[in-house]
Amino acid sequence: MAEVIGQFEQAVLLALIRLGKDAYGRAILLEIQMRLDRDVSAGAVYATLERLETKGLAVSKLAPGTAIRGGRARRYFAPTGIGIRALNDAKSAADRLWQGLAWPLRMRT
Amino acid sequence: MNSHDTNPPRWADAILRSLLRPSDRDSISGDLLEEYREARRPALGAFRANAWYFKHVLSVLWRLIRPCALAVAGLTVLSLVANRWSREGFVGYGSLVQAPGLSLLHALIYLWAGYHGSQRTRLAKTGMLTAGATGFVGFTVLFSAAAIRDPGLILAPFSNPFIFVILALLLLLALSYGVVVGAVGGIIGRWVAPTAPRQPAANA
Repeated sequence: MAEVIGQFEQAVLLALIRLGKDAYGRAILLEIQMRLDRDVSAGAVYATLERLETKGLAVSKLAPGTAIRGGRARRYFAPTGIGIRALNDAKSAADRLWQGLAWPLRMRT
Repeated sequence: MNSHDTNPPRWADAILRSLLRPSDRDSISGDLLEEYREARRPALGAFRANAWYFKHVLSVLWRLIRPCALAVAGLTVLSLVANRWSREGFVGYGSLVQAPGLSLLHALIYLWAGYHGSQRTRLAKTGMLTAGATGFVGFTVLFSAAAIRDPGLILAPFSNPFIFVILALLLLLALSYGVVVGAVGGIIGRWVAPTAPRQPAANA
């Protein structure tokens, strides 16, 4: 059984997969805001990325910065095998919970 | 003006950098600077773009102080409950001055905030910042709780402006206490090795 991950951790890991080799902080933040359709704080995203790294669900590496960021380095993130397995488990668990129910749910009268 | 030349307020950038781990200092501040220059400043103008930047600085600060802020908020609520039964309660326990946020229990939380902040960032000054911010949260919770219990308190300063001065003095006392105790925690935390340092990453 892989690590159990929360909804926001899933959102961040899925953003890493969608962005591929372009998954650095700013792109991840914008991707999550677009997918969740709400404003997401930088603090929440960076804290989640740190937690994913600590749990071994993601890894990162530094790359040189560009002029528009004042030469400050970029940190690129990627999911690990454990991270992918945790996502698969989370999806399976959600599918099992929804199995047999018609979506969207309706109020019984 | 070229977007490469526009910058968020220097003080906001300095606060942000002081809240980050050494391994994240350039990358996270660079991400926000890139978004600021490329998207926010051209679209929103200087004032709203600066507000956007500062909001994200506050979100990083909140993540850093959250456990300490919740502890001081809990202590404040407990002190209000305790004050119903005893004259002194938790607020006054061990206080040199009868003012909110100056007890020994508060000092322990400020010490923790200072230690935690500087141990993580390797900067002693961050300890003062995190403890001061924790003190501000405690004061805000206390004022809000008091205003909920007695709604007249919100309007009182407008009928008697001197109450503003008293509130400002109480806030200043709580902040100063937090900053001084946080400095001690910061100095201790600066010299203690970080608990989970990030492995040095190879440059791409």
